[in-house]
Amino acid sequence: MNNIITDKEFTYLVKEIINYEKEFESNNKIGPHDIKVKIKKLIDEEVE
Amino acid sequence: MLIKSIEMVNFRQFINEKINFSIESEKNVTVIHGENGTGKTTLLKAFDWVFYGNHNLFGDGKEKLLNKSIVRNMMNRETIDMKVEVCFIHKNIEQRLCRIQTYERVNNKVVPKESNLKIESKDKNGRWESITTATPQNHIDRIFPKSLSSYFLFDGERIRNLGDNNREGKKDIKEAISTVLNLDVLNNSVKHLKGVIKEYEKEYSPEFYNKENNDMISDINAKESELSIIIETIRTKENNDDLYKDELKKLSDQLISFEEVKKYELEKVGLEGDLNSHQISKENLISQYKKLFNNNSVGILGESLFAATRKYLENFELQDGVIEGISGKAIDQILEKKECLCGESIESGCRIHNALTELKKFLPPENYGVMVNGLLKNISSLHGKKEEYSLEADRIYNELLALQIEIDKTSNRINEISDYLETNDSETIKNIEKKRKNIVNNCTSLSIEIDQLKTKELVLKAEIKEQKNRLKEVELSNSADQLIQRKIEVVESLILYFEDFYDKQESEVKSHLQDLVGNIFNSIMTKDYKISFDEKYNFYVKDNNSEDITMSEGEKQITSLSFISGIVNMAKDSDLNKRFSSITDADSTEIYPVVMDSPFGSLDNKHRKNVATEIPKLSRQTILFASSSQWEGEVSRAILSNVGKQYKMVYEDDVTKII
Repeated sequence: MNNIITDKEFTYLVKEIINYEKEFESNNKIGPHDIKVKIKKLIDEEVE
Repeated sequence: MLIKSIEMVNFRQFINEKINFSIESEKNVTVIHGENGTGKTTLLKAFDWVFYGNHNLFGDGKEKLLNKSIVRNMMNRETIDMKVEVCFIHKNIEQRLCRIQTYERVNNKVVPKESNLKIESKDKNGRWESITTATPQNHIDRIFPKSLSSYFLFDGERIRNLGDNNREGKKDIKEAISTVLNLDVLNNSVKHLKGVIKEYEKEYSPEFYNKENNDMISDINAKESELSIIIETIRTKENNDDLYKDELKKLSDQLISFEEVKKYELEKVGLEGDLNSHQISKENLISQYKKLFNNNSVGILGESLFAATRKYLENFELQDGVIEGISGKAIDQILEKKECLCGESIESGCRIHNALTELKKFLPPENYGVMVNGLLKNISSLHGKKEEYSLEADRIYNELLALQIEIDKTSNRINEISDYLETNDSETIKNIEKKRKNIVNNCTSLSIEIDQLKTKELVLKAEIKEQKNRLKEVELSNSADQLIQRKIEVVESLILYFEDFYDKQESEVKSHLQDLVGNIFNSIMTKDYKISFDEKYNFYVKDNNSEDITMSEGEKQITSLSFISGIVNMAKDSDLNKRFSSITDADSTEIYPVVMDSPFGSLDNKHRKNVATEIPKLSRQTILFASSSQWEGEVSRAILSNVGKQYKMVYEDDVTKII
């Protein structure tokens, strides 16, 4: 994977992104930009 | 989900009909039978309309959904509602979904007006209450997504496509696998993560954007755009190739329908199958040779050099018995840390300290004996490889030669038959064959173009990867820029993870489906055939001598039913769903009914009976539409003990009654 975050943190990111994408798929009020902002915020929190 | 009932008002030929379905676990089948044209397909489409509001069910828009006799008798400005209501149990809660479309007559035309969708659930006191946590459509999309519905609603055409292995059938199988693996979610994740990288790149400080880095970024962006165009072009061309293949199959079927050339066309179809198998075997032999050469080339090309090296080194007395792979530098570091790898402390002058200091004398850089020994061992392991290589290379070469003779022989015979057909007395046969030949030529050019594009795709991917690595190596002095670089690295690892996940899982799921389909197929068939897929989802049926077989219509039907059963089983197979749910929190325990239209079409009595025996096993609940002639006799006798409810459809004057 990489040496910046731990495996546990990586798995957490994968799970959260999948959950966001599932929400994106079922809710047409969420746009691609909203998803990108959410994912970016998530990564900011994990890496910083 | 179990479907309790469906009620249709003014929907096509159903004026006011309600059907209650069996939800018992033992008698899990509901059968609805009737003569052709009574509305079995319409009933299947009613599910599609109520769940997803698909107006184009009959290819002619929502205007044509309202019952014809109602349309004829409507007065000017009169409004009338068309309704379908379905009642179902989801996670032990009874719910009902009602879709209403209002129509109004305006002079000569009946026009659709407002439509309404309502979802309610039954509380513990038996009262119906609206579900307000989501819009009705979002609620349905969540519990019974349209993509998933394709597993469970099977119309006659779809059943035929699966058996014919045409473009639509292959697409269906591919989509089923994609849905099981949530391909859309994975693709969207990759797409959005790539967007996140672009956002991060905007945050770099101005000092990062010097001319050199700027040029590199522009170049990467240009190459990525070119790559996505190439990927899209490959997809379009592969799609066209599938269309050509379907067209070729249709033309071949047309030729088979002419009695005077039937024998030749059937021979040609068989030979084309053989040619395909030969080409696959040829590719396998070529890759075997490449592997053989890669594994042995060093030993063969360097043989004389290695022999000379061995001879030279044998004159030296070399220290042996020391652990390989350890250097004196590593020992120095252990001594400096004063702690052994096992955790024991090492003080100067102690037993371990002395032993390590002694060991250092026999290790590089003080002594190279251990390294030379290692080299000698490697050289010895290469000795004799030339003979092994020659034997194996000869075998591959001879097999390739024999195969090429077969390929030429088969191609010549195909060309002979084709020439015979092209010079036939019948103009129709001549024209069909000419058209077929043109398409074959188009397919060949297309296949060359696709190969060239795929090579270009690989080159571009490698170039992009190399440039990205170069960009990563840029020394960043600014700490904020370093943080951005780390974040981008995390995003790239996530992209790789999602891309790899699908590729690895796809092949496993495909082979799982192949096994499922094969098992069901063999349990229905009386012959011992084997089914296998290739990477493009073409399937092959072979007999026990591994010869390709041309299937009868009935056998095709059994193949498609095996696919349906395989797809349904795959979707409900909790282990398979767990592959994905292990990284999400998805619920993989939901069950769905199977609704299928006319699965007995071209089968003889024996196969009908075998298929009927399999149907109750398809799902927890099965709703089956069949023509009365299909239902009577063997089928009803085989399945009756599993039938919980049975209805007959009767059609008269644009209206169907359910008895």
